[in-house]
Amino acid sequence: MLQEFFAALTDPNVPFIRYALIAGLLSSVSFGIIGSFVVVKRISYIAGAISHAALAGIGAALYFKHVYGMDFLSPLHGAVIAALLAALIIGLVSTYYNEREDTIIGSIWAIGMATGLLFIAKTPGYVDPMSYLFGNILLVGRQELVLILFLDMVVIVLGILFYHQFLALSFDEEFTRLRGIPTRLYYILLIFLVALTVVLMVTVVGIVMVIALLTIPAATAGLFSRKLWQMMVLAALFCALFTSIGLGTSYILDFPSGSTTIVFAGTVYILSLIVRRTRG
Amino acid sequence: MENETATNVVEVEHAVFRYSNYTVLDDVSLTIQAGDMVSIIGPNGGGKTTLLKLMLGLLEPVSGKVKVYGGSPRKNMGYLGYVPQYSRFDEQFPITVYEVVLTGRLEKRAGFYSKEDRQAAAEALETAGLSDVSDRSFQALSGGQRQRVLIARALAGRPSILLLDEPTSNVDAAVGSMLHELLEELNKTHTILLVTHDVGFVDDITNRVFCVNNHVHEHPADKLDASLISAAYGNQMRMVRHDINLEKSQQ
Repeated sequence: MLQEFFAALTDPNVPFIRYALIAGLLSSVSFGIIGSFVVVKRISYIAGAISHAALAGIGAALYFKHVYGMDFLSPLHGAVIAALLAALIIGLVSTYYNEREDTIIGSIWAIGMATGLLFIAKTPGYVDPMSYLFGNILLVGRQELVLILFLDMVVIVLGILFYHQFLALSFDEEFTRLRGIPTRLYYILLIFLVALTVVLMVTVVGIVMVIALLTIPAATAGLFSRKLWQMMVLAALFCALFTSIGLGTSYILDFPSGSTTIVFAGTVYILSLIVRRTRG
Repeated sequence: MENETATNVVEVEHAVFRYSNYTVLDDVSLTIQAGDMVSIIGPNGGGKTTLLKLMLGLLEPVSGKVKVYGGSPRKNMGYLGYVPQYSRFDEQFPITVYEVVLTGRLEKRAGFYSKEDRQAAAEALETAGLSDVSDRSFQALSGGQRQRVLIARALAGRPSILLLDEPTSNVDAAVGSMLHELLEELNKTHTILLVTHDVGFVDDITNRVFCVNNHVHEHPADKLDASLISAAYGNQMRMVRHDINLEKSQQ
């Protein structure tokens, strides 16, 4: 059965499995870095809102592509723009208007999804929203893979370059500000990186489950790490493991890839928690 | 700091601070000189922490001025070393003692810490007596140790003024006396301001006491008497007189 999967990986007739696996492995590095920041800074609800808001962009891109013949548009382009826009609004709201931050985040979450579904409903031909909500590896084409690689590089480079600033910001924002660091700016930059990271795996695991893949590997890694960078390395490895095993299993058993990946990741996390608890 | 010509390191002139329409600090003026060891005491909600944050430049006064070494606190923040309460930190944050102290050297530019940064962090750890736990996880330390890590982090930036917020809250007596010793030692080279509830903690090393209750009054440091205690805690306080022993006096 496993041979079947490896055969499929090298089969030129089914490139999408190969593309999905490459997308998963590439994105894992970003997921390890940014996922760890999301977990230690406790902003997974922000990541959730951003990923759901991305549907607005996906829907809009599909609509403009089919109605106005903008063939260069890929749903991923729309996802990037919508995610960055949502990140900007959330970033500004949470740095300048602390009150009711959660209400605004919740609204963006819902409005983004609703807008996306409206666009999809009005797009001629049949587009299945399920593919975007829960992932569909058939959506990963060569063009998408190039974009994923590019965004992945952006996130990794900025994440490493500003590692110390993001670490200090997450640990003690007030003190970081007293070191002369423009913390609000860095916070918004961090949320932008969260937005780009979320988009990387939207096609593989879907909008609804992408937050799980952002936080579960990092949370699992956090159980065994004393330093943030160790947590990041371990989280990236976990993420790569979860997506490859998820993809392989889903291919062999003919399960949806996103759900398979998340169920596997969640199981490993819960088992790790139990192991950690029982061993003190 | 034995300075013949006293330098005003912090000057607050007629500062007013309000949260929406509640006036926390009303027309506050005070001057702190190089080498001072200042205690800031007062009831909860009286404005102690607000005063500290004004001096740090984390808050701006509605009117009046706050100056650090003659300039604005934000411009001269390099002189200031802030030590917050350890208890507000995330218990699960993956960071070592050394990494915490290094953040005291953080700069605006991207990239990594220099050799000088590492050296300053190592020295600060040495001063705070933490060299042997530098590779330990911050969350694994006791409260008193964590408080000293935060002092070391402030020292790593080589400030001349240390500002501490409730350094003795949630620490036991033994740890308290260790902090006391450390502060006494640091006062030889630094001006120290500390916000505290614990008047007894610093009474012997403090040379100035400011009581903050919307207004600021300076009390003579050598007379920690009932008026000071009631000023510090509000009026409904009874004092325990340790200096009178009834059993003995009845004999």
